[in-house]
Amino acid sequence: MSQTPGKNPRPLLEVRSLGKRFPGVRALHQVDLTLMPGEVLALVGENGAGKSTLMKILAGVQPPDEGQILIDQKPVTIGSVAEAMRLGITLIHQELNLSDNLSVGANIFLGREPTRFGLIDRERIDRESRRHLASVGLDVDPQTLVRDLTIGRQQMVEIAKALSIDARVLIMDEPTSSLSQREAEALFKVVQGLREHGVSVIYISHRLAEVETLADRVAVMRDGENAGELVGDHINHDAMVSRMVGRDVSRFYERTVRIDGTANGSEQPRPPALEVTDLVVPDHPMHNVSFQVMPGEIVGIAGLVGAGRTELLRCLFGVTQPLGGSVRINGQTVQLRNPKDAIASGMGLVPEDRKEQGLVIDFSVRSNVSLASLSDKAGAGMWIDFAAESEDTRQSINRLRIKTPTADQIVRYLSGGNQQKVVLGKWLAMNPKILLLDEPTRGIDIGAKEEIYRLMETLAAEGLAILFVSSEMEEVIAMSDRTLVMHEGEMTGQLVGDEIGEEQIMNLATGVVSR
Amino acid sequence: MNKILGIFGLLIFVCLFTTVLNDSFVGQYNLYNTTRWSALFGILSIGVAFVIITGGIDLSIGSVVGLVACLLPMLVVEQGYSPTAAVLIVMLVAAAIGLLHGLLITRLDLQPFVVTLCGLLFYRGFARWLTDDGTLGFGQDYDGLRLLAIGKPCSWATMLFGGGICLFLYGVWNLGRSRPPGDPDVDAPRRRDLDVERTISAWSIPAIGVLLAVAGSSRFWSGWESGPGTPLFEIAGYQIRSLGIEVSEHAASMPSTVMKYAGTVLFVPTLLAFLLWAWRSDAGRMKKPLALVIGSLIMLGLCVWQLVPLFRSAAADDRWQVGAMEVSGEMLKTVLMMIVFVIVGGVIGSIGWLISAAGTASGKSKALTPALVATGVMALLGQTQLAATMVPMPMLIMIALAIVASIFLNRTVYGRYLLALGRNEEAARYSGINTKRMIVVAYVLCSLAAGLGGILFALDVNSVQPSGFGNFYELYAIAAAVLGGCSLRGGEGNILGVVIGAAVMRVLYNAINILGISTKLEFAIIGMVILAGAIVDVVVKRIVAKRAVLAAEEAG
Repeated sequence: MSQTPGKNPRPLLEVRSLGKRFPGVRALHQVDLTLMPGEVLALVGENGAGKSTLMKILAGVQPPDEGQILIDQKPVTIGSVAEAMRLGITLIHQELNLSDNLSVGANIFLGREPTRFGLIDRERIDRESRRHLASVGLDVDPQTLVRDLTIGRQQMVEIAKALSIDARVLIMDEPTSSLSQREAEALFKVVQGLREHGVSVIYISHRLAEVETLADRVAVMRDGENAGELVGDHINHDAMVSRMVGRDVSRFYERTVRIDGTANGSEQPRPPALEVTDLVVPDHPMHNVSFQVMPGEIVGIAGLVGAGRTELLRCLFGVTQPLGGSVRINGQTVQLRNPKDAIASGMGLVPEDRKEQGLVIDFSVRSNVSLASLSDKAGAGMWIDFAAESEDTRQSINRLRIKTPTADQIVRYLSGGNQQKVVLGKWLAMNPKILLLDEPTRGIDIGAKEEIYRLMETLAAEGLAILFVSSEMEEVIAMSDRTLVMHEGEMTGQLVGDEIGEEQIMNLATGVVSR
Repeated sequence: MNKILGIFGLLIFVCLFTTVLNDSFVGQYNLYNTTRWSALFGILSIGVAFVIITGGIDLSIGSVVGLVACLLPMLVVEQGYSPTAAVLIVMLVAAAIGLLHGLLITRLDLQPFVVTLCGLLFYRGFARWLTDDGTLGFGQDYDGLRLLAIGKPCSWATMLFGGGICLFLYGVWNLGRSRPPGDPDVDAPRRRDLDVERTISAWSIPAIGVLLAVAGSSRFWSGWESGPGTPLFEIAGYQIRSLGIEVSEHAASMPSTVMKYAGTVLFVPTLLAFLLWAWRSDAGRMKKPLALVIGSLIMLGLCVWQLVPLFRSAAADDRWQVGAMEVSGEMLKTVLMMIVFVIVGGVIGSIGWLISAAGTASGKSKALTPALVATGVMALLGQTQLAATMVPMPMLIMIALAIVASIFLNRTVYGRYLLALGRNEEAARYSGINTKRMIVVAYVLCSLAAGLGGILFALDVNSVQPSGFGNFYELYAIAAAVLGGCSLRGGEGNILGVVIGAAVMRVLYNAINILGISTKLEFAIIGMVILAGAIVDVVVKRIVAKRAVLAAEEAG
């Protein structure tokens, strides 16, 4: 399957029929991969396709069961992370591995600090860090604490750290998942620069659009096997997706019906399910926000990272207190002092960070599904209704098609998509009127994404008002009846129906125009 | 469940071990004292378990015990309050302390360690200043009040009878109450299996109840308690006297006999069924642990046969000729003890392995485990004088508290909230739980338990020295909670485990005394046991996690 570009015939890294089994699961099977010097190889595939396992083997985190790894055409065994680094292979994890209480320089030289007379040579750290930072185009003082940097800059520090140990192969796992557009673009530039300096990059991403622009070659994985490679002009969205899922799929999920919430039609006017007037979110005290969501309507909130969308949802859900303005639910003004109030008035929030805010990750599926509705269904206000709990859980598992061996399975051991479905199940168990979703499909695979879209649509058809925040442009465009766009805490505009398009959203999101 | 079985196994083996080396351990006097102290520390441990479940810690328990123990005699003896009023006042003080801790932790976001550490210092100092470091006590008066701590309301036989009846009724209610509807997703043969498992575990509760009731009631066949007009209840100066039926000496030991035989008779078939089912479901996995269990049981038999007599006959100042060496009696005893210790450890480990191997292999054998354990324990207890021993009043209080606490933790939404916020406070808050209020509740419960413990300790000892009374009790309580399966990271814990943990601590302490091991080693031994428990816990958790990952992957 391997392709060899003409001008440089000697691959830097070669993987031959690599296999890895976990008890009961075949994680990798007969995987071949070649990497040329100065090449950007994108690795795509659904969750569980074996990308992470392959990368962990290359980075020395796990040993392979069978197969060979060759560097400069010599077979090597990579027994540990340190050994991988010595061979020039560095993995940059999705969750960054920096000590945020230490300075940038200290992080770059962590574990191999240069010393003078037995003491850490701060000057040298400073000097060399500056050099490495400059090579990734980052202009920060090496003595800045890492926690004072944005996520995007922290990522650059990681890359600088990798370069400082003369990495020849840089493996980046979902590097843009928490970056803003601008930060992501800066990252792309650095990757281009690396390529010119002969560093090879293995780039893992779910975002196929950036793969299209960045990659020289794409390797697609499916069920632990190679599912094909694409080179040059053949790299496009549909080709990648069809190889990932093993069948042809339409470009994106398409909704069957859309409603126009702004027009009330012939029916008698209903009050909006959610009406927000001049709400001042504490994180952006200079702006106020007004909008409404009708029952049965799906409203998307688009914007760049840091536009204040998550903060708006948190404020609506009572996690933070608004500095002004009012919220009306079904025509009634409500005071939302805490999430409890919000839930009592019929709201549910699927938060951005499902492991920290959405789930008690070490609880069973059952206990998570029932957590929010427990007190409503409790006898005499305190006795847990175990029968109702089991019934709700069974319904959630069936309706949301949660793949779990039993209702008592600990949620930590489910896949990301199934975890997200458990969070949804928690809110469905209490029959909400308004559902707030914050990045509902982040980090979950295409199959589960589609199921969540379908569910959003069904719920809206049943009369639920849905307000969702998403950084994936395609998702906002495909799913929303109406799109609100935010820019630095301000609501810069509203798009309805055919107006919802990539260009219009970007103009509003970057604050170029507003209306 | 496995965790409770594990800590219970440890308790049984420490008891067995001690009994084998010195059978005064199971004499009436020692059993009474051990159960009394276990109960007193159990009360403190139940309280701190709530705080630990929220992910916090309470270091002030010992000082609260000391403060309450000083306040009570001061109020009653010096200020002349009525006992009831005094008890209410000190409990209010304890509740206020807990409230203060909770508010400081939730409203000011202080760390529990810091707040309660300051509490530890403050209440101790305050109590010493208040009493001017003078020893306090109730003297010979206030017997009514002191019965709370030193009362002996009934014998263990009566307890068994009462407990057995309650368990039987609960089991029958449980049987009639809920049959989970057949899961349509499960295929027919698997459903049949599930039915068998459910039937076994549902019936085993009332069956154990009947067995206990029958054993305990043998006392009644020949007379109520142990003779004419013996005290049945002694509470607050009242004595409810029992039926005046003359009974022989023999009758007093009837419950033990019944337990011994009934337990043994039932134990053998249950064990056989357990092994058979476990074997059939996955023979390969069973062979190794089974061989190990048989091997270690043989070793245990040999060591009881050979080493124990040697141990008993060796006086500390004897000189023994072993081969060419001359060893002192003390040395010999230490060496023998270590050998026995290793062998007993092997037995604990291999039986734990057997249970875990069988437990994962088959639901049926798992369902049989409680019945197996219960009958085995009864057969063992039948060999002791427990049935004729009196129940200390604190034990009754502790049992009542444990039942209430257990229901609170497992059956009410508040208990569920505590567990949820202990695991992930933010997710709990996002689910509409008033987490701050629940944390305050946990600290109030903990201090209340410490207050109750303080009252009972003061009444029991009757001589309170403000400078040292209750020192280190918080550490015993925390250790018991951790041994019993609470995680200091929060979100994990069960009351039964904690109570058993407290018992293990006391039994260990008692064993050290009774076996004549230098009490200087006391802390060292207790520390080692807790460390071993923590290590085993981590290892077991890893295995469980690995299995869960596999199960999830198989499901897709």
